Amino acid sequence: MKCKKVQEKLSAYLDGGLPPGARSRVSQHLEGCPRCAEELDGHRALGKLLDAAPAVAAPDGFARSVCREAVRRAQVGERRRKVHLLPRSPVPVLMRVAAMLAVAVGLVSGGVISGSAAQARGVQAGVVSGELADELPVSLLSVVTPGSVTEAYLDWVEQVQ
Amino acid sequence: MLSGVEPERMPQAEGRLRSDEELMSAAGRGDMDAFEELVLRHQDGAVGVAFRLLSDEHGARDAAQEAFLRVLESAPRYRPTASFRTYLYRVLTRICIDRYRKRSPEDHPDLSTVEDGGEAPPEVMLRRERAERVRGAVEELPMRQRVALVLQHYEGLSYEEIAEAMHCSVRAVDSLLARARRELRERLRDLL
Ligand SMILES: [Zn+2]
Repeated sequence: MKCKKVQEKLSAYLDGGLPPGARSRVSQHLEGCPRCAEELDGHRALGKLLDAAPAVAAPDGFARSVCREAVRRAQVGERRRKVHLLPRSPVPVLMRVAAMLAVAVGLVSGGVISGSAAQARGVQAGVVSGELADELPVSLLSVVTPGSVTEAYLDWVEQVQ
Repeated sequence: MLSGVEPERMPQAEGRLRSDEELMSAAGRGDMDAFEELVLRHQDGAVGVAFRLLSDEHGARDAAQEAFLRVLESAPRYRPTASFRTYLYRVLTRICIDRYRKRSPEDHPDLSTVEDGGEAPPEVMLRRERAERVRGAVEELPMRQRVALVLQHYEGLSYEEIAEAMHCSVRAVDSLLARARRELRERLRDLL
């Protein structure tokens, strides 16, 4: 193998991206060629230097806020569908999530979906109104777990009213 | 969190961690617990990749959130042909590339976390300056080289996975990475 060919392969060599045959040919070359070995050291040093770049992780509560946003969008989609009689939302899963949450909320609160969230949390009896009633799976029973998406939904309803 | 709410939730073995693919399939049936678990597993990687591509912390969070939401939308149709992580990064890097292209020239990267602190001991200042040089050099790479480098170096994806995520051949990944490294060594020569 020629030096130029070897040096082209050094990135892949370090990353473990070479097939076994090519890998051993590069290894062999490196043993006998100080210039290419130096080039490999340069690649290694760059790897270390790259680790010095600043990193950012997800903030606390990120996953929860993503779930809230999913619920919010599902709600918006559901409203649009009702108001404009559009065909079913292009995001069926979000709608199903919205429907399930609304159902869960409705059952917990005694069935008030269109009332205010404050009512929804306290009222004991009511009716499940609107098109969601058609989608009720009868087996659903739930309690609002603190910090749950259902609670997030209730908070959201409270905010928009 | 929504225990008892999902009528279609699959029974799972006691104490066994569900795979990403199982969680994805549960999310496709409307199981938000499964979706939240997926986000928790991959949120640091996703926000980290987006930050390295966009150099903007708020933008990175936003892009990562958008990627997770798109993944949720696609969950009912999801067929695991590659690892979930590869699929997520494919969605995410497309969003980042798109946003990076669309951002106006006045948009300055938000580096509040990188540069805050004001007065600091010289060695800290020096380290910060070095970090900033490296970040800047990576940011100056052409976007596809940057994506390949970030996925390979910082996320440890294999060449095959990067090819899958970037929708290109392994050979192309090899070439992108080789060019990126050559360029970086040139630009950061005084630090090497
Ligand atoms: Zn040589």
